[in-house]
Order: sequence, then C-alpha cells, then structure tokens
Amino acid sequence: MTCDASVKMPISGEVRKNQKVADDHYHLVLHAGKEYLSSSPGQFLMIRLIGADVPLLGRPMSIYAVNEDGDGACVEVLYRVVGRGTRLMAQLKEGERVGVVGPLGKGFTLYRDKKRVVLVAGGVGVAPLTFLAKAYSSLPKMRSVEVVSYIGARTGTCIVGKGELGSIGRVSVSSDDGSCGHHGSVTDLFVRDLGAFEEDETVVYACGPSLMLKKMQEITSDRSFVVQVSLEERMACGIGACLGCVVRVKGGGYARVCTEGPVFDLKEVCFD
Amino acid sequence: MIDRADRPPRMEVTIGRGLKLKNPVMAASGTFGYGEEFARYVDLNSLGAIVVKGLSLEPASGNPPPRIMETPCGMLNSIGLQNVGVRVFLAEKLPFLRNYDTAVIANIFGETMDEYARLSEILSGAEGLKAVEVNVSCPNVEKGGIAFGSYPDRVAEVTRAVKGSTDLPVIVKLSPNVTDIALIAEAAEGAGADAVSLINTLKGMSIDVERRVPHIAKVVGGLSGPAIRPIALRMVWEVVNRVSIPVIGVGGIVDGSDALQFLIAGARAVQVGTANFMDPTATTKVLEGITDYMNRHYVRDINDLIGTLRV
Repeated sequence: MTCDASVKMPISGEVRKNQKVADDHYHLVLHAGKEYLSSSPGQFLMIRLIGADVPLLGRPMSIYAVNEDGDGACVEVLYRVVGRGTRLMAQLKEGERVGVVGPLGKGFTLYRDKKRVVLVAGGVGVAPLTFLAKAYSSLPKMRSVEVVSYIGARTGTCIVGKGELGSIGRVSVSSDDGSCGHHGSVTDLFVRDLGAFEEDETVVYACGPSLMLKKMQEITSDRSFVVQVSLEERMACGIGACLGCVVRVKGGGYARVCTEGPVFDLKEVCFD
Repeated sequence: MIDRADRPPRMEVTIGRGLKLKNPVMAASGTFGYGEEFARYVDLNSLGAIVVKGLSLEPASGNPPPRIMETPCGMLNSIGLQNVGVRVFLAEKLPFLRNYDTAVIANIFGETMDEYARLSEILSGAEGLKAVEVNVSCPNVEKGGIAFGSYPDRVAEVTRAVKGSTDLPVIVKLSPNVTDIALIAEAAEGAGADAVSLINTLKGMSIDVERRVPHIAKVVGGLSGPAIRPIALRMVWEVVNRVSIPVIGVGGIVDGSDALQFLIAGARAVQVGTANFMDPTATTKVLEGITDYMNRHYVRDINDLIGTLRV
C-alpha cells in the first residue's frame, strides 16, 4: 500500500533551452527528475507557468526526447504557439522554473515482429513519433526495420523534425500551401505508398490534428494494419481526475485521453 | 517557561455533529477523483478531508466533449457528472481510501428526491465514510429540469430526504446561481443540515468566434478557479451572518492566503478545487501556507482565527 508519507513525485523543472525551431514552433528542454528516464514514446507532460493565474492550467505536451542529465533527466518537447498559454510559454528563459507533471499516460506499443514502421505526422505531432522512431532504431536486432515517415504542415516554414527522422529512415513531406514537398495533405502521401506496405509486416503510427486522424481512419478502415494514434484534447489536470479530456470510443462511453490514452488503437476511436 | 512557538499550531476543526477534521483543508468534489489519482503527489494522510467525485445511483457516462475550456483566471466545465456509480465506489474506490487517516466524504447527486434518499441509505453503513455532501445543483427531472438548488423549499426537501435516510453528518453544497444564497442556506439549516459548503460553480459560457461554435459542447458550463474567488468569499460572508451551522468555503482557493480569507470571514473549513488541476500538490501548499501564517501571527489554534474579520 502507498499509505505512507513517502517522498512524492516532484512537480517542477528548470528550463535549459526554449528555442524557436520553425515559424510558431519551439523546442523546450527541461531539467527534471530522473523518473523521466523511464518515459516511453507517446507519454506526455503537463507544463505550467509557475505563479500565474493566466494561463491557469498546464498544457499537455508529448515527450520528444529524454536523456540522462547529471542527477536527473533532460526532457524535451516541441510545441506550437496556438493561444495565450503557449504564447507566454514561448517567453520562458533559461534557468526559469516551470511546473512539470509527468511522465503521464499510456504510450505507443512497440511491435518487435514488424519489418516496417510507418509514421504519419501532422505539425508538432512529429514530436512523439520522433521519440518512437528512436526507440525502434535503438532496439537490439532491429537494424532490419525500415522506418518510413511522412510529415505534413500548413506551410514549408512550419515543418519540424525532418532532419531527425531523415537520419533514421526515408522521409516525405507535404504542405497545405504547396510551399514545400507535396501540395496537399500528409495523408495523400500515405495513400500514395499504401499499396507497397504488406499489412502483416507493417505497423502504422499517426499523430496530428483530429481531422487528419479521422482521414487516416477512413483510409485504413478496410485494411488490417495495426494503426496507433496519439490524440490531443484540452486537459485540466492530466492525471485522470478532471474527466475533461475524454474521447468517445467504440462500444459506447468515453475514455480519458490522459489516462486510457493519449495513445489509442485508431479503430477504437470515434471521431464525432 | 514554555516556548509555545515550538509546538505546531492546533489545526483540528469540528464541522457540525460528529465530523472532526484534523485540519480545515479539504479536497473539493470533482477535482480530486477518488483520491488515488493524487496519491503519487500528495500524502493523503495530511488532508483534513477528501470529498470524492459526485456519485449517482447508477454509473453515468457524462457529456460529449469538448467538456472544458480555460477562461481568464478560471475554467469552464461541463463534465456531466460522469462517475462510476455508488456501488462501484463502495466496492472498488472506498477500500483504497480506508488505508488513509483522512476523512472521506461522499458527494451525491440525484434527479429525484427518491434518488437522493436511496443514495444516502446505501452510503449510510459504509465503513470509513465520515459524511455526505449533497450536490443540489443538478436538474430536477420531476420539476421540468430546474435545479433543486434554485429554490429554498426544494433544498429543504432534499435535505430532509437525505437526513431521513442516513445517520452520517450531512453537508449541503449550495449553488451560487441564485438571487440570495443565504436564503437557501437558511432553508438547508431549517431542514436539519449539519453544515453547508459553498460555492459550486457559476454558470458561464465561451465562444470560438472563428468557427462560431461554443467552446463547450453543452454550450453553458460551470465556471471555477481564482476568477470566482471574490464572489465565493462574499457569499460565504453573507451565509455565515445568517446561519449558525458551520460553513465550508469553496471557490478559487489556490494558496494559504486565499484559504485564510475564507477562514477569517467565518468558514470553519475550506475546499481546494480547481487548484488541484493546476498543481496536484495544491492542497499541501494551502495547508503549509495556513500553518506558516499561524506561526508568523502566533495563532496557536485555527479556531482562534475563524470568523475574526474586523469590520
């Protein structure tokens, strides 16, 4: 039983780096406790500006990378400035402390028997998929696994993560405005190559806007691929208490994105 | 010579008949799950009480998403009272909480008088349960969906129904969406409530102008967080001046200083709600803040502080 007064999970970290990496996109590196070294791809953090009533709540962010750092860990995230909360977060300076709760949620399942890993990323959705790609490439005896990545963004200057995924496998990019790579959706690129992926040898992972994931569901509905997706929802607590971040799931009822997810099998999710 | 400052201040408070809390800091219903979600972050033994997520007779799946939206210094929610139901609570959630030395309070809600009565009856004999908190802010399906909490006679009726079905102390949690909250508090007191807690969330709304849709699927939600603190404090002040049963202050409490405002205004205890979402250790920080204040001001007993507002 955990009914003692033992040392509890720390809930803050120190900013090591908060750097703009593309239009509206930032790379945040935090020094936090060593408990983050056990993070698995797909898990997330709640990051909050300390002492502020605005933004009031933490923002859920998928883990992009984790590395040992002295007596603790360096935890990295990628985020896009979308509103007031992330706009204030973009002003964080090295050495400042932030609230950080994590690692949270259920991550991706790694399939050791597959020959091909396909990653479909929309925008900052590339962050957890990069963490996943690295996890696959560092598995023992996994050198024969082919990692194929598709990255889509609104415009060419918003594309992040291409270099890192490119060092692990083949990468194709798309942009909504045609300024970089394929002119259109990232799911078009996936559909283009779909025929070459044998279903029993391939596992597909996707992370991005819900419209993109809904499209992925339509595309793969008559195929037997394993497709796992990481979902994003507004969250208040991130630890399963507020019940604010639910998604409708097949078979009725709701699942909490923070606790039962954020990673779900795509066929289990109902996009309303 | 006794150096009184060496001893920790006395924090015990009594909420009505038979409900003793080791300190006045409670976790508010709906913001602390069933306690287990917070056990990694907070020593649950340190809390005065945990009020669990609102319970109904049958499990409820809740409202469609989006259910929450952050607003200036606050948040809107429309969770729809999603919960595991009273039986699953007793079988699967309460046993975990029995391992801790903290008062467990069951928050209940129903859509009919009978549901309130049956819920209190079921909870009555539960080992480890110290009180029942009655949410009267939900729609009354027998009366055209108007919230029980909107009318003094309805609140009195619900209070009597619960009191008649349980020997546990009964706390009535009041809705702020009324003209005169003290009138409602008087009705609860008259019907035998052991205490009142206030405030529940204020009705609010927010719109995504780009898409011209509400930010919350059910359009209207409940506003909580620091944004509502001055309103909650004003209402607590009004109620302590009109009733003689203990009052529990709730609304936007984030730190010790916030909690002290309610205690000085006359609240016997406080509940920490939305702050648990901001920081899972918020309850601990509130308690530490109160203790620090007491040490700084040489207050040896929390009861010497309650209701000491100088006006």
